[in-house]
Amino acid sequence: MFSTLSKATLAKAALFQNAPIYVQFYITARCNLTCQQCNIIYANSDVRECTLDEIKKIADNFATMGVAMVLLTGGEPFVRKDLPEIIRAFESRGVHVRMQTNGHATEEQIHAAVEAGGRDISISLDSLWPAAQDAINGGFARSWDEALRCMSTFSRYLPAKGSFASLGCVLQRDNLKYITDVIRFGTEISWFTSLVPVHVTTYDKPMNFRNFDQSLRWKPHEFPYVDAVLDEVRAMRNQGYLIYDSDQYLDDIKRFVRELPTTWRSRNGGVCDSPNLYFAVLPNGNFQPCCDHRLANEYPTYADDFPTIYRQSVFRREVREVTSACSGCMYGSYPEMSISMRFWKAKFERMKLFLTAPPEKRWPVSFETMLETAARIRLEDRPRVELPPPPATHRSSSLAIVQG
Amino acid sequence: MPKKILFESAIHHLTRAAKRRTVVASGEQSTAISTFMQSLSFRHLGKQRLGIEWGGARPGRAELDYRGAELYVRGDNPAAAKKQHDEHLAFNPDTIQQKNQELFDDAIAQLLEWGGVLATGVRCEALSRVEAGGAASDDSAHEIH
Repeated sequence: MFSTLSKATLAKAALFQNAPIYVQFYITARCNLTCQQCNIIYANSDVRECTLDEIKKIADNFATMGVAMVLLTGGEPFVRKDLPEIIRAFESRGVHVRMQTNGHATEEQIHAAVEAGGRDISISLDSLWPAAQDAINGGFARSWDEALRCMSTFSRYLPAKGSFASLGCVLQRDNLKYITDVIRFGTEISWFTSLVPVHVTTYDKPMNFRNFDQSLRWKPHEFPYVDAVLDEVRAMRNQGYLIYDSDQYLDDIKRFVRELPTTWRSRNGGVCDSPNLYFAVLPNGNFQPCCDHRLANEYPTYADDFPTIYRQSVFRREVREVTSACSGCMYGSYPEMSISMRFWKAKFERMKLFLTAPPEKRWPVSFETMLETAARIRLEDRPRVELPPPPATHRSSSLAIVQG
Repeated sequence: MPKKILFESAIHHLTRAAKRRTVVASGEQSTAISTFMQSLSFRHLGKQRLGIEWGGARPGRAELDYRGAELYVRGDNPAAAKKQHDEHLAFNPDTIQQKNQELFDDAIAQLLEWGGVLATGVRCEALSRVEAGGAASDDSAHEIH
């Protein structure tokens, strides 16, 4: 699945922690959903979108720099009419493409994306209950069905070998009870699941991805329930369920929801690894340290001199000023990249997962089978962690495990 | 219920404009801006009009007309790409981003002045003050201590 260029960068990053293995490219801010937990579609609306000519130049630069993987995200990347050309621009230069979608893509679009070289897909799925997912997605009816239809279509067009498919699942109050159902579902249809806790901020500390809705914040009495779900997730992974997240990452989620310092930045002086291992690109092509922060100065990644600028100490210092002031995130990829490259246990887990025992995929999976599988799993009579009502009406501190 | 995309965008750009102010402000001013921002609440008032209310020592209300902002500018289809090339946007500093920033920077500067936080001397034409009775006013004179 990875090119020689990508493998060389991954090896260099594992040895020296200073090679760009992962870039999040926000190719558009436009989206056909307005998910509860997402703010990036608003934060990135003030910049223009790159043209394809500029993106080809970015791909040239990334190949020169040895970028191993670019995540094409948004907004919704499939709203861009030229997505197949964008995928081709990176893949043809040896830069591995991962696509991130909410599942609103037609069969023709999916076919074209795979034909262009897209072999790595992540789809947002937070619940197996259609109404719950539709509500999380901003009240868009049948958006859950669209996601499953999209997954089925990908399972038909992607090659079973040499491809990767995952579900991006946001851990929040509205779906905590159903997280393990999503993982069971993903495993049955040969898709990995990766968790990201909801991120919330306040008006005085705007961060691009983080929501301002304070009602999404975890409350102290809910922490043990989050822990219980994460412990179950960890146990499931040890039993063979397809879960991408490392032990350290899952433990750090527990700390993050409590607003305590996480461990994944500890080997770099309490700062993340941007831009050494990863960074982000705005829709207009400008560099930014990550999805949450921008730099005061503009550095277009399509510029001829960007590969040189990227290595300059002045540039690195400017990024470090921003990252060292950041309280930290748990956005999945950034922590996992740092953990994989800086902690031997996780490094070993990753190698074991992808190099020695890649799980076989039971593809294709029809849309009807997806619907039946989801219905069966969500209705299974099984203990699930359920959040209690707020403390004012709930006086017991014991953990509620309910059936069904 | 789907969120209102332009409304949510305007809120974010206004808060980010305040953050830019905070970065260059002194420690005391920075704290005052932060307190002011935490007191804000927003209302959707219709097409690209943002209702803003603040608390603190000088509470007030205002309306921001952000029709001047150019948001979600496409670059993907041939027509959009041609337009960007014709207007010398492609391969050049993002003037759309700069103009958007100016609008929201001016708006937050004016709000900070009305809120008694900073004497910025900025007058934002897109922002109108709402008097106690509810009518918008262009009276921007306000004493700062």
